[in-house]
Amino acid sequence: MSAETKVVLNDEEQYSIWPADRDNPSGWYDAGFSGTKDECLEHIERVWTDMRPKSLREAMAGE
Amino acid sequence: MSDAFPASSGQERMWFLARFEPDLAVYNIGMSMPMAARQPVDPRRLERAIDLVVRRHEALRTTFEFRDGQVVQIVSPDAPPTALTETDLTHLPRAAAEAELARLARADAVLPFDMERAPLFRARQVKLAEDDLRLVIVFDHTIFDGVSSMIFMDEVGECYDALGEDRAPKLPELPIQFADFAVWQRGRLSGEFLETELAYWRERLAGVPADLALPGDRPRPARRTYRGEMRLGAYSPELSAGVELLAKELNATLFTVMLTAYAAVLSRWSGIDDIVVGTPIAGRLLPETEPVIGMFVNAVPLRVDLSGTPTFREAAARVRATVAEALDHQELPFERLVEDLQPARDLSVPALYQVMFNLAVLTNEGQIANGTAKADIQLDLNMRDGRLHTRLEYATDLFDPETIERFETNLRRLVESAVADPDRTLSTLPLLTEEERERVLALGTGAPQAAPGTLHALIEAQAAATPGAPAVLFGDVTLTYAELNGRANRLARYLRHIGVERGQPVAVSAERSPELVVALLAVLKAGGAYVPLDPEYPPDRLEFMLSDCGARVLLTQRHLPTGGPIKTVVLEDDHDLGSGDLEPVTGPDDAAYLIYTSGSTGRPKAVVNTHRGIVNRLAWMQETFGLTAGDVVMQKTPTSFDVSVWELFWPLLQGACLVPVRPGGHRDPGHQRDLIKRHAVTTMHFVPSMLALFLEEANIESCTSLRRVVCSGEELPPRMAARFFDRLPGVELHNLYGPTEAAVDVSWHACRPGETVIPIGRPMPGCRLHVLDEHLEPMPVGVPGHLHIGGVQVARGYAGRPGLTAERFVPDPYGPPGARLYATGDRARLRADGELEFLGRIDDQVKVHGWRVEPGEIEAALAEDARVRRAVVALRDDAPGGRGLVAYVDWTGEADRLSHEMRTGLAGKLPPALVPQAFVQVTEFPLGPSGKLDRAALPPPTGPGRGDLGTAYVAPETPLEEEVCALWGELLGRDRVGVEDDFFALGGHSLLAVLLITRYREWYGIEMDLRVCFELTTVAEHALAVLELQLGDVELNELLGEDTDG
Repeated sequence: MSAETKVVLNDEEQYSIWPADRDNPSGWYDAGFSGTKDECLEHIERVWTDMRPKSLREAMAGE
Repeated sequence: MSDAFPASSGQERMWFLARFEPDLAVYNIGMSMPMAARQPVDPRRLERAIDLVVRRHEALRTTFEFRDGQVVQIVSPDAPPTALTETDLTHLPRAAAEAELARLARADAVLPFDMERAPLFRARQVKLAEDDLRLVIVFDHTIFDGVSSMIFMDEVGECYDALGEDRAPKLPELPIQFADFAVWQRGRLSGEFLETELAYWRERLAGVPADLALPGDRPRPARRTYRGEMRLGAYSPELSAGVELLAKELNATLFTVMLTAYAAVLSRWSGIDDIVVGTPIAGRLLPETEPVIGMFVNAVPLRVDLSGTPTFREAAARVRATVAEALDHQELPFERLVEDLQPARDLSVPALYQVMFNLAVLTNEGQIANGTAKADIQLDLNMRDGRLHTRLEYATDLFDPETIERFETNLRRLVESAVADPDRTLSTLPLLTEEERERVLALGTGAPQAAPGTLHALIEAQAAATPGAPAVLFGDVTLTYAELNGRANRLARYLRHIGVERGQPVAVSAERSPELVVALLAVLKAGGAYVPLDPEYPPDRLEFMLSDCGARVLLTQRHLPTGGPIKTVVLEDDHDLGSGDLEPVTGPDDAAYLIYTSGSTGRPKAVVNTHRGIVNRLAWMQETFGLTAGDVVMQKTPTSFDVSVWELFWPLLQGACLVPVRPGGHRDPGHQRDLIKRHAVTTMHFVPSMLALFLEEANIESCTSLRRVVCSGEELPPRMAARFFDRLPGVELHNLYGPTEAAVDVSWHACRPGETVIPIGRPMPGCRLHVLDEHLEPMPVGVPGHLHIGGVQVARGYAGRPGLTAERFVPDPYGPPGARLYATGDRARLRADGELEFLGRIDDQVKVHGWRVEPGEIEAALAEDARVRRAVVALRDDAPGGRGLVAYVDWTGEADRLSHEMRTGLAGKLPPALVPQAFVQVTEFPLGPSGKLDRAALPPPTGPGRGDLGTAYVAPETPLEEEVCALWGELLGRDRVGVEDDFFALGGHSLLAVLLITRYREWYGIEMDLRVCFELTTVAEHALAVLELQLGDVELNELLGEDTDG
């Protein structure tokens, strides 16, 4: 069933969701969590604590 | 002596249509007969052969008359000898002769028949060469059908041969004739059998969508014209064989497989998964009818359920069951079904189904188009010479040829993919070929993005280049570029001093003023991202935003309330710090501003936009409009709306001058006019709701400095644009589109006078706009879908809302690796010319009485009346007569004529269900803080009480008026109805009007057209109409009575 959703993230460690049965678009990776859409969004609410893109985070940390 | 028989119900319908549309031959059947095997043809012998066939079949000797209130068919015992119209084209070159033949054939097929005069066919022989004679023959459908044409061709051929060989033709005996069948059918369709069949179809068709509403090139006219065209095509032998193989594999017929594919495409185009397709059925269940010429054919609605996510295989199984079941109930004539299910004729939409499908036994090559269409789209298929041939007949009321070509290619592509993988989910089968998909995606892709930068660095460069030029003009205050930059630098140093760091949100709550401009620039220079808070917002909302955004510093003006415990900086204070530019700490990917959006649900959320996005947006604007140092830009949008971002920063990037409107002045068109004149403003923005007010302001013609007006934030109605060009000739008008989530705007359209639809235009450089389905696949050109935005202007997300951000900002399959698309929640469609049309919010689509309604469509129809300044249509639960549409109209006509004139005007333009239930006169529309219309604040429509009707009670005078008053009272739930009362003012709507007509039929035996109910709206008018209809019948019967003996 295609109702299953998975959590994905990109190189900037920005999170999103994607149908579990479909290949990820280029540059997106499985975050290792799947479930209903709501479960996935709740998961993201918990784990995506710093919403700055990774490159910006690193640049700011290196100052 | 002629014999008279009652006409069949199918014949009756065609007879009535011929009366309604006397100039159109909707039901002509034209064909060219293949004569190749018999060349050279002897035309005299051909005529005698046709005579023999006419002698055999009564239908070919039948005409129609109206007697004693019913349509009868008159069968004449003999017929005059056939005389072919002769045309000699031997003098023309081959190609020219063929073209002339086609022209003649069409001319013959276009000509309607007089139903009272025999014969109801016409034939022409055209000589292309001495050994090439063609026969073009056109029949009226009332005496003929598809199977008849096969019989006719076979018999004429056999008779021709027999005459040549001087023998009797070998033809089957005809045990019955068509009229016998019509009489038999009439007897069969009564009593229990009729009731069972009607009951079956009532249940089977309960709740079907009133209109499939395929996306076309024009809205449906109030009255269909039946005008149409056709398009022929053929599948490759490989694909044709593939379809047959697929049918075999699915244990289904070719009919089932192709109907599944057809329904699938219709579903994708319409967005509806409940598809009703009409199909002709031969109607020759009795073996005796097989060799007989006549109108046996019936139409059967096939209701295809594509809900859920069936695979092609599963959908085909559903279709197979549907077809089998329909065949078991095929005897009920379609007309009886319509009478039973949709008694009130809506002249705009084909009843019960709007699309047809047929797998023809006969080749469709010989069929001659005659410029008519029986449905919105009809697909005729025919397998011949190993290829599947397609013929699409379509209503030119709705479609252009290019659109039907796209439909055809979408269908073929879907068939190809179903053949390749029938176990794929129907909704994921591609409609677009790879090239078309690439082309559609390319149309949605803007030019390359601009060079990256930060707003403050660009302004610093400008300040260095033109230090003495005026940057901000506010009342008597002028800030030069050097002064602005210096003050902002001092404030920025102070901000860094009190701890503002890179990336921090800094709240700014200030009225429009030079201090506001300094404050925003200073926050950016310090390395922060500004969070504008409108001081006019209610305290609760401000408090929420202040704590939600995470700002630790608030910049505000002395006279405004402070933000509680937060560190507050008063903007009137100047700090004794260095005025030189600061060492930059931020780059293009840092946040520049956070702006709150409310949306329809949930708490407001702050959208984080980057310097890169907004710098790209401003670069487009400069490239497009070429602002110079001589330009003056008005700044009137509150900073809490993102339009203010370009108003503020674009001029400062170009050495132009910024003129902030005084606090509150953004709501005052008169003040804006004066300001334009005082400061020679060249450029300004309007939300359309505000533009409407400005265009009614006196003396705006004197704003001669104005060069360009930019609109965004709401739909720009064509009428408003026309008014604009009327009042401000020579000024440019631009329509922009974009959500806060994508750096202000992402598409642009330059308006031109005379446009009937104003699109939102094409993507800006660095932006991509894709109209996608639920699987994020691109929609075909012209088909509505969900608008997604990609590219450099896409925001970072919602601050502190990771879940919501992940939901709305989704992986972008069409951008660079790892890119995200913003799902706008807007419906749009891509036009063939690459411009996008905005179709409203996905959530706003409303359904009224089974119809999908776009309020904008009704608003546009209302606004066509020159007396309407503006109209807004809303779906309300408190509409009179129950949940329904209410129109709010700013109207310059007589107040008490509004409802009546609007209703009668709309009745001619829209299907009855779309005519609002109430019309409310308003002089102004409630606007939100951004100047956009605030729909939630529209007043409730006038209540149902007598006092609100605006008319006094007038008692009925005649018994008929008394009856109609009583009937209305019952239907509308009112104790007392007067003869001057308006049906709609009392809460009537289109469904109640249908009920009313049904009651009139029962009580008075009259047939009132539904449209009459929209034109005549009082009891007095209805009573008169009832009387006229009753008398009309009497007179007609009397006249016909005199004729019957003749």
